[in-house]
Amino acid sequence: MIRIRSSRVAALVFILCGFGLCVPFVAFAAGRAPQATKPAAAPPGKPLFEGACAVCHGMDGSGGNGPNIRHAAARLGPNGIEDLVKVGFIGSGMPTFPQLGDEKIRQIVDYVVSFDQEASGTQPGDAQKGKEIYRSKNCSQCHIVNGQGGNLGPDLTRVGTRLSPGSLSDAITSPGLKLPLDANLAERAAFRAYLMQRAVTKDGREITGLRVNDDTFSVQLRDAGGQIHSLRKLDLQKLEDLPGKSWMPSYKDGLSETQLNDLVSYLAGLRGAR
Amino acid sequence: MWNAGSYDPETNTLYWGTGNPAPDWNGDGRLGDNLFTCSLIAVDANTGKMKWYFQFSPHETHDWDSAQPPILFDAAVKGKPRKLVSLANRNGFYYVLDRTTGEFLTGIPFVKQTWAQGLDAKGRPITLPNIEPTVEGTLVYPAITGGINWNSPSYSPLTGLFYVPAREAGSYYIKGEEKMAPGNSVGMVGGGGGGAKFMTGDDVYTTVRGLEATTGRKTWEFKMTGDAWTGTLATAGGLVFSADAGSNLFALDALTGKPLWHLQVGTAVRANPITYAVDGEQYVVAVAGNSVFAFTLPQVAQAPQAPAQGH
Repeated sequence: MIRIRSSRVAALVFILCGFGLCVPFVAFAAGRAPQATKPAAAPPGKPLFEGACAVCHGMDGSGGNGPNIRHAAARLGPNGIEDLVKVGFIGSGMPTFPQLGDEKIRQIVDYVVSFDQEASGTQPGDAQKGKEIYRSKNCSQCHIVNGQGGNLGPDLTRVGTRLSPGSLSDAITSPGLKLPLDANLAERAAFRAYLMQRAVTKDGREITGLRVNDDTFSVQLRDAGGQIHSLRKLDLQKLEDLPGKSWMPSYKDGLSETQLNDLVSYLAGLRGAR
Repeated sequence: MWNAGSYDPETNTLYWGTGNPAPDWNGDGRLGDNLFTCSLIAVDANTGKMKWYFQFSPHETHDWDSAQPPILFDAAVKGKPRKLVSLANRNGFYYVLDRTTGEFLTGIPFVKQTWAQGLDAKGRPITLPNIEPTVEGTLVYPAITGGINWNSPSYSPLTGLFYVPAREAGSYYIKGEEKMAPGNSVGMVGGGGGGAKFMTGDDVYTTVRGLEATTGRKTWEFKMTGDAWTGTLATAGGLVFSADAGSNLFALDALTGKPLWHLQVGTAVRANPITYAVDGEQYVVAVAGNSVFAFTLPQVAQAPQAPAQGH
């Protein structure tokens, strides 16, 4: 159960008890592509981000108790990020930061935008070739990209903003892989949504499907035919995880290392229809 | 101090749990017990003079402060009536003390913990080797957020149970450079001297547990899906209210932990549910996101146990 990926080590979580929040922030200190050249001066948004945002989003924005925002710029654009910082997100735990003022908020936004630029420049293969592999391996039979494809598996339109190249590679070669202990919140959410589960009701009915959603009192499973079953946990005699099981075949032997890298690069570049 | 304390009007005493020492994860520059951090402090409400203290975690290095709300209750211990204060500590242990003297009576883990062999006769932890934060990270239970955090437990004199919102998880604790400087506060960037990385996975869950208040023995638990951050409310009607991470506000049977009612309120419930009466009518109120949900029972001769929805 306990497994750390060597590619993503040393993360730091601090606690900001003074805020009464006591939520962790995570800083991935190693494992990202090392930058050969050091910038002359730290951007002004960096200390502000580390003081105000890292508590939830991690020192490098890759998430902790809050979501991974390394690709927020691809999804929201600088103005969208600025709006979110100013207005907050009620009910999510994302507060507003009136004490910072417009100038400092813009510096933070610039810094968040720089994550996205940095992260998109480190792909392991050729995305164009990867797109061709995606087509030839019929991935769209089960996955949607920009509205096209089947919905048995996860929609991949924005998968590059959710999963790191390492996690994408794992998902292709070992579908249904057990959740790595160091997965960030977004990765956890993606994993939970596509875990296979087997439910047995008290009257003996058996349903195996992908977990679409669950909470303390209910679970929704999507079966192989695409039908969604909403079940009350009180009505179940058994609900078991089927880790390692997936309807997706493994492409461990079906792809060369180069092809895998190309496919990963294509998927890592999928960052939302624009 | 960053959480609520308790007040005993009978003895005019305030009880407060204190925070952890800084830098949080690097104790090299602060040898010794670091009094009065990670302690429960009894203070005379008029003079502010300390009556007694009890330190839960001497020389703490995992960010487990002891700011959790103390609960005051009276009960018999080994056949003798005692005035007690109990605290479910972030370090994973549940403690019962005599609230007039600070004498340690009982302490047992209420979640998985891997840092102490146990507590000695005075309540001081007997720590295990290899639990200190390291540069590469040391896996220790409970997690950085503790066996409990700010969310309040509750107690019912009807059942004699202590209802703790417990967190089952571990963390990799990382030792960093010590950078404490005047003005840096606990846990802040530059002041923490390290950090921790969260563990996630199947062993990680939150739960409401009914502990026998005088011993800490678990009598039941209600396991939740996801990472809940809500305290508990025990009522004289034999209910325990709380909420899960999926925005379900719920009521449990205070004696058995059996779920009796729940309502999907649509957004996170992070504050404790509360209850009060106006003109003899009892309300239960929970804050969810930017909404306040209030509930009361229907006006019937024989009210059912579970509350009906109102708004």
